[in-house]
Amino acid sequence: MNDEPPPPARSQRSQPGAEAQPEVLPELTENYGIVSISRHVKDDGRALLLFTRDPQGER
Amino acid sequence: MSELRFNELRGEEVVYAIHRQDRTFLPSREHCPLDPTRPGGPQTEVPFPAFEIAVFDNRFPAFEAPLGAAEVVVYTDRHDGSFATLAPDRAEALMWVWRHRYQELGARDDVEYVMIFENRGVEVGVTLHHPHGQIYGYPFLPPVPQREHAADERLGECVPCALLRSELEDGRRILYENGAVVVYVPYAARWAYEAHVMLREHRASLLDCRPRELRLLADALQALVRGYDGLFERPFPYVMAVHQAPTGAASASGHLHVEFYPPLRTADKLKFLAGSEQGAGTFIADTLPEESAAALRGAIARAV
Repeated sequence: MNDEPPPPARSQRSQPGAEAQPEVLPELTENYGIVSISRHVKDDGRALLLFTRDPQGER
Repeated sequence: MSELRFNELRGEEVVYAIHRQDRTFLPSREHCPLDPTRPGGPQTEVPFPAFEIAVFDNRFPAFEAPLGAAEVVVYTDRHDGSFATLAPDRAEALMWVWRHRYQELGARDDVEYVMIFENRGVEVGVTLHHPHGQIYGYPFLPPVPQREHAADERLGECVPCALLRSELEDGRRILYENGAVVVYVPYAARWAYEAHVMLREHRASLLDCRPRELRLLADALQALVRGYDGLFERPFPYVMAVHQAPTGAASASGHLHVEFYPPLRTADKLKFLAGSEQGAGTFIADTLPEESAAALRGAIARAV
């Protein structure tokens, strides 16, 4: 059994040489009707929302 | 930050967003900013290798907080295709995305009116070919919803509801129907192939729709745009605008419907807004709505 906790979410925005990735705010993931939403912040501060169809969502 | 100036002669706001002059203009396929970010490739607006639907603040906004909002809605991570070619479940999901953005942007104090729209085709000024739409959160109530509200006041009822009854009674301009939605070329269409997609029941906005209605709205929208593409067997340019109730403090009436303004009047001729349209505000049409509807109805029947 692996009791090791998952690594904490981290921002890769300021890692030199790394391909820029948006900061992930998993605590703000939410369900809305038939979609789920994850919120992110782009490198320049602009908001980015990714919507994914939730097969268990409202019909 | 954009500057608003009120044009007293026209009685309307003009938005000066001069930073948009430098926005990305018809990039090569390899440099599409709406594609997902491929491993080893250039970073795009969506820095993930895959996604379903993405919404982000416009890099070149006409409006931005604390005076409104401008967002981009990317329908798919696939560069090719269009709203017409989305899988039905993706189109349905898009209705929920629109609903979410209307709710969230409409709750803001600096947004009086939320308009979801799509410009399709270089004929209407598209600068990116990847399937996408946009959302503006206006910090004021624009002229068109003002006029829609004035029409309700003038006639003493919900005018879209009345027009829908009239179109159903006449029947000649109906293009498509399902259990929740009717699509028709309006009696007084300004564009040759203008079409209105109307909820049968009075719904002020997407927030009032039942899940089934959202699904059937997506079905109707896809039927129409597939018919458009089949009409002249070419990608059909259009401006699509989702009309809903204003969200500001002085919220007025509204009836959810989607209007399409295609500029083509034949397979290879465009309708231009020229002297009468711009100078007098009066459209001169080259086609009768009943004849356009007959052709478009056939194209939809063949496409669905």
